[in-house]
Amino acid sequence: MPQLQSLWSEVNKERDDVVFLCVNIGDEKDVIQKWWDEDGFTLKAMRQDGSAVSNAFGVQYYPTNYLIGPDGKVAWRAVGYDEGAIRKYLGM
Amino acid sequence: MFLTTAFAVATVLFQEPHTHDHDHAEHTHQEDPVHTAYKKALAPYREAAALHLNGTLEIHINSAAFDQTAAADAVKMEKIGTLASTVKWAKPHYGSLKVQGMIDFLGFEQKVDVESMGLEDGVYILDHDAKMIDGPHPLGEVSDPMVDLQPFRSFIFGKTEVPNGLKQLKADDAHAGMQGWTWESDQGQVECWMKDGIPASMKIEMKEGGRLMQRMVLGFSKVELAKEVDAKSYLGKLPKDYSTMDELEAEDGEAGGIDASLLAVGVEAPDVKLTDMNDQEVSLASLEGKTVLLNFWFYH
Repeated sequence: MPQLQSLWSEVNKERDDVVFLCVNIGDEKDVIQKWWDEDGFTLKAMRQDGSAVSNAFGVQYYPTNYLIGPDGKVAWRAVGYDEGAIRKYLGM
Repeated sequence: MFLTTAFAVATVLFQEPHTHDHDHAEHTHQEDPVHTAYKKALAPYREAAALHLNGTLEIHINSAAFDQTAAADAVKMEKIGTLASTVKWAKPHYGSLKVQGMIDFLGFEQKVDVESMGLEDGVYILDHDAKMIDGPHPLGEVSDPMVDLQPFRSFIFGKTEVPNGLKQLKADDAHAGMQGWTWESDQGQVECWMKDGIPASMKIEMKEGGRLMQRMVLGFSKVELAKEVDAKSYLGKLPKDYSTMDELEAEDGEAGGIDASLLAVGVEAPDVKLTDMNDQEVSLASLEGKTVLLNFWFYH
């Protein structure tokens, strides 16, 4: 998450057409809040109803990252965190 | 956990030769003497049916990446542990991996005791008994369900004939009498050494955004090859959810591995609803027109 945060800090400065959402599964809200507060994350932490969203996206392993294009279609996805691929797609 | 993360990240380095540049490497550079020497040195490993490895795995991380006060491009490599490793691997894709030892991650000691079984390019961690010894971990539990053995495979046992950008290394004092190779991409660098035809060491450095993040140094103390084996006897324990190997293969093997369950590129993303930390509902459809990164994660 610190790596994603550092990428987000950079993206957020330059782009207003990009949104990062960190979709949690299974943790209590206060656990998430505590980590966010302690580490000063500005990323958006999101919760879901059970595993409804994870299931809709077929997520079995964590972390998994998806990029959804402006057209609402899946542009890229991968298990793990591949910052190079995300940067490449964002052109940064 | 750092071990698994390290392996998972390392996969990126080794995926490229399999994809777009594979044919290129095969045909265009066929007569390259460096490639010929590499292929010749590794031929016994390619021809073997199984491989047994004992050795040590040193893990170094860029501690500056975990220091919020450090500059964004700061690099301060610190060794966090040396683990004992045993790998048993049979072709095409059966194997087990044991890693044991202590990791001291920025003052947080952690016992690592991992046993796993492998399938295709991946290794599934079954027992991951990582106990906290000294207080809570600063990053919480991060456990990847899968590690990738591609780094080993491409050097000592792999299908990949020649990695992209392969270069021969000149033996320095520390590697007297050894044969060395290196290759790199923007995601990192690999250095491997052989002595008397046997893999001696392997160093894998991983970068993110041009910044060095992790270094793994594998020292092989025992390397054995076997000609004929019952590959399935190399299986570790099956994961809990599966009762037969066929079941596991059906799900994870031929269908394309760990990505298989994900939505395909180009399909319409489902309109899901999420709740932010202020209890406000956000629908994905409401973000149309923007590029959205969805990062699925958990803390515990």
